[in-house]
Amino acid sequence: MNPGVKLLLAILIAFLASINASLTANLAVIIGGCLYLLFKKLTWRRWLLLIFLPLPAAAAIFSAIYWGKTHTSLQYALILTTRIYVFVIAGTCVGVHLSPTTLVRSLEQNFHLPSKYAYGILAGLNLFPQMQRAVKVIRAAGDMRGEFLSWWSPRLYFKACVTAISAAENLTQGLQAAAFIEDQPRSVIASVSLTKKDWQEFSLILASFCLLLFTCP
Amino acid sequence: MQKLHVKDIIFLTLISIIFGLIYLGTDFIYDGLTIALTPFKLGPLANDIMLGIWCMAGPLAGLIIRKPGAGFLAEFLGAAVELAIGGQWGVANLLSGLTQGLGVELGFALCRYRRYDWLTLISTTTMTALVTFAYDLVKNGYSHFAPALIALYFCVRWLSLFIFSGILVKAIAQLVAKSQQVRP
Repeated sequence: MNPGVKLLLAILIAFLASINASLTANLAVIIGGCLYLLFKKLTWRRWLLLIFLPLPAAAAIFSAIYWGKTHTSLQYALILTTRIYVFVIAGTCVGVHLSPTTLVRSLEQNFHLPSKYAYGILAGLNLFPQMQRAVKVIRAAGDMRGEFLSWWSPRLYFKACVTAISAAENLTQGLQAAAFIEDQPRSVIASVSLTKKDWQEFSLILASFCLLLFTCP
Repeated sequence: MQKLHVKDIIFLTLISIIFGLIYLGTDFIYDGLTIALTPFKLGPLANDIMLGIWCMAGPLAGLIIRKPGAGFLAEFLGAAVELAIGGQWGVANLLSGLTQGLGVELGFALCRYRRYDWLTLISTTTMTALVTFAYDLVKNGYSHFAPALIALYFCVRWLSLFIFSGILVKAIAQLVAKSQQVRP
């Protein structure tokens, strides 16, 4: 399925699941999503993360609803607990074997995201490893001066902001040097296709989900 | 009204990456708080205590860039980065990013993008608390809690937002302004 369509579908399913309560619909998404991820050969490490990462939040919401009320509601507690897994599985289905570059290209070519956003975001994402390193360097430099920069320290964020401002300036100059002009139509090298079949699959999955969500408990 | 340029968008993406990493790094604090509060039937309160940290990108970007859309975009991209690098909330990160970004942007819009002082930060704090709380009433079942508990959750959320997305963000923005790296 087209990456942009897949993202839209996941967001719509998550949004609809969060505003309406249906255990059947949640379980259908979880089972369907797991089958899709099995088909896509998700690694064991990711399966373990998928199961155990949301567990604290799921347990917390279950306990608060099931034991926290004056009259217990197992059905509603289960709905909210499975809802968390719906969010996580839907997110994993979108992200499996999909690079941010392909997703942003799809949003630009198929969903008319302005090129300045597409290229700005892609340029920024390409600096991801450098930014990770920059935060480590800032903290290490602080340590060498005997200044511990914790995550709540304004100086840590300030230095990271200054690094980001400088990197943004350099990247913009690089883009402009390569003849990038904002709000101008651009040719594409790698095109991302969006076919009628993508929309048919999208409609079928969304309609099935809505049917379960609004008709089953 | 000024619009965002590619330089602003790159900067917002970089800020979002930094905050996305921090959001992911603070997830373990959330997990610890949740585990500690669950026996007291207050597990979801961890969400409200942490929300101020998870909403810092938007107000900071808004204060530095000072253009419409900056707060929303930074908040949404921060959530997208957290999702991409393995955040524990899955696609709900994007929905949270949308509601948090909307709250922050409404806060700036209420001040008409003309003033960037404490009043604006109180506005962004309050609007973010209202919008995100309205969503949590439905999404996380807060509407099923007792009225006193709902009031407690809202007050904790507002306070967390004020401390992290207000006081801490203002301190960072002042340091950036003093460094004269940004010319609004």
